[in-house]
Amino acid sequence: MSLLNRIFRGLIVVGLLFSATLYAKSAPEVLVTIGTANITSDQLDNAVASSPFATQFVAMDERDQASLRGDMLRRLVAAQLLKLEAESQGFDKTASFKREMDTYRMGLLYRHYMDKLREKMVIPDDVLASMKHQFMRDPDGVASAKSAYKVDRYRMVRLATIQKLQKKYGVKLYQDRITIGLMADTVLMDGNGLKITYGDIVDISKRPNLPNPEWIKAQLYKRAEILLIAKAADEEKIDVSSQLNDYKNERLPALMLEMKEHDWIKDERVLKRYYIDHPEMSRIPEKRHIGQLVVKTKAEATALRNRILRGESLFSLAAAYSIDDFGRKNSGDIGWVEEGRGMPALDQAASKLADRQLSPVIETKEGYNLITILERKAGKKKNYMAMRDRVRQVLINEKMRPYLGELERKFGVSWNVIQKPANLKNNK
Amino acid sequence: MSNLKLITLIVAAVAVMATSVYAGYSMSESKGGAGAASLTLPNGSKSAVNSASTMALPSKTNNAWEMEKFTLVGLDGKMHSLDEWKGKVILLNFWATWCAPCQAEIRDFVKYQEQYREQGLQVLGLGLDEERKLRNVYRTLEMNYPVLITDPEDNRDLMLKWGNSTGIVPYTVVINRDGRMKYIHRGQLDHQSFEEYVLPLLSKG
Repeated sequence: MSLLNRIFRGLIVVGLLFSATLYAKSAPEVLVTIGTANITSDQLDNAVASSPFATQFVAMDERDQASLRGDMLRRLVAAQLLKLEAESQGFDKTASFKREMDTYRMGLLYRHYMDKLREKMVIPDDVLASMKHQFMRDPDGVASAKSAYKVDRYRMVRLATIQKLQKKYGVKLYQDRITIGLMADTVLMDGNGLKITYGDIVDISKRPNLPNPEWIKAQLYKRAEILLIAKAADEEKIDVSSQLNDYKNERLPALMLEMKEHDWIKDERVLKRYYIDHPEMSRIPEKRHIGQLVVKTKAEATALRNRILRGESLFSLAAAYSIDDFGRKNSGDIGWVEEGRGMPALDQAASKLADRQLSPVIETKEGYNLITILERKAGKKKNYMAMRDRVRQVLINEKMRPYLGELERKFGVSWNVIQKPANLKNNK
Repeated sequence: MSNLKLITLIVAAVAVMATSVYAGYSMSESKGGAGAASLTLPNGSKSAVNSASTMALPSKTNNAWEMEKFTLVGLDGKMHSLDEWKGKVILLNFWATWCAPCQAEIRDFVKYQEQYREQGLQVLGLGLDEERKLRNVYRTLEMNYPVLITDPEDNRDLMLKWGNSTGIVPYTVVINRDGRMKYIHRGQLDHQSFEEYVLPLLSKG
């Protein structure tokens, strides 16, 4: 999901979904239907609970929580749309995807089988008693001793298990074949329905020369161990289909996205072109240290302006006459203001002023202002390399919106959560 | 506030090094002294509780009712002090809204409170944080026990009085019906500790 998170950052947030707590007890509601698939409140809660902001979320105001839930829901919908599109393009049927799923499945089986082995390990009573004696009144010490004991035991149990399975499946290893002239289909291990060829453990297209034989052996043993354990787990009917399905649901949208990104950004020139065409993105605005005086009437402002022109200080006059509290307290020093910020009339006037020059009287909603610029930091333009990631992000976001719209029309999305469209807010 | 956070981070790092097993976060500067192991009492035996707890508690008592009384405002807007719950088995839990282990154990505490209310369990939260955030957590996690608000700038003394010299959160003191402190837990209170140290104090349901 992190890829998706990155990509959808900055999308419009839906300020809805004031609803259940993080762990709803009631039956899950269907929030969105995409084609024939549903996204339920439970799925949304899980997504929020496993997001990087899960801890902060709990302490947020209701409105912010609703906003985040809405944002997360949009991401889930987008992921589902991308998954459907990936399936409709047959991504899940390719040989490489099947291989990837198979590798993942074996990894899952291996982990489950080994976890079960670990769970079965029991510390004998006398060993436990001696640990408790050694670490009296120190539960942390006992806990460490227990884990050290289990780690040690596990090492032995693991080796014994591999040897036992090797015998059971009549598995033979052919380390002596690891020599010059190895082919992708050279068999390095076989046994009851199990086989490892050189091509399974080394990608010959990437490593045309024979790598260090010890390294090849290490790869062979690693793969042999996984195959043996996965076969044993299969025979014990360990079920990993739900985790496998979760993995598939994450991988397909990611693959789809990867392909689209590649379509949109074929090469570096696309990004460079975008950088050049959008100069405002890479601009760092000028900063001005501003002195200001503001009074109620134009006559007063004009009179004060004349006094300043005759040599009096804008700052001491601001301390005495300014009607804004902050300005009076700080003798007219309002600090650094970025170009484009603050009241437009003042910003505009500032852009025409030279350093230390006094402005004409400027009318604003506060009253009649006089400003001067004490010093300034010139604006800059960030170079392409500094902006590259940001450009890429913005470009993808720009392409993503219409693309998701297209997918929405193709697969059909019906939202069951929009109750108060007036609450829609742009949180960009 | 940023200073407090900085101190918190530094103390957390020191606490990790000092105790090697570290299950929670630290709220304020360490005054040194007792480490985690000396406060985490291994069993409910009287001698162990006496020696370890009085060592840790500056007030030199092992009985909550002999300690200096504190009165704090609750999220219900009313003033409360600990003796309102005299006669119950009290889980006095110091927590903060930004602390993930605190949130995890609060989810458990809500279940315990629901399940063991009739057997005399009373969880009591001492929130070491802004009231607004405390209220948000209270609402989001559907908390079913009282939470009292302590001043974030001034809660160190209170923690110290209850033996929390390093200001770690979460931090839980188990007080028996007669006021005796039976167990102090630093970090997230796990199920095993609850079963071992709290369940035996509750009346049989």
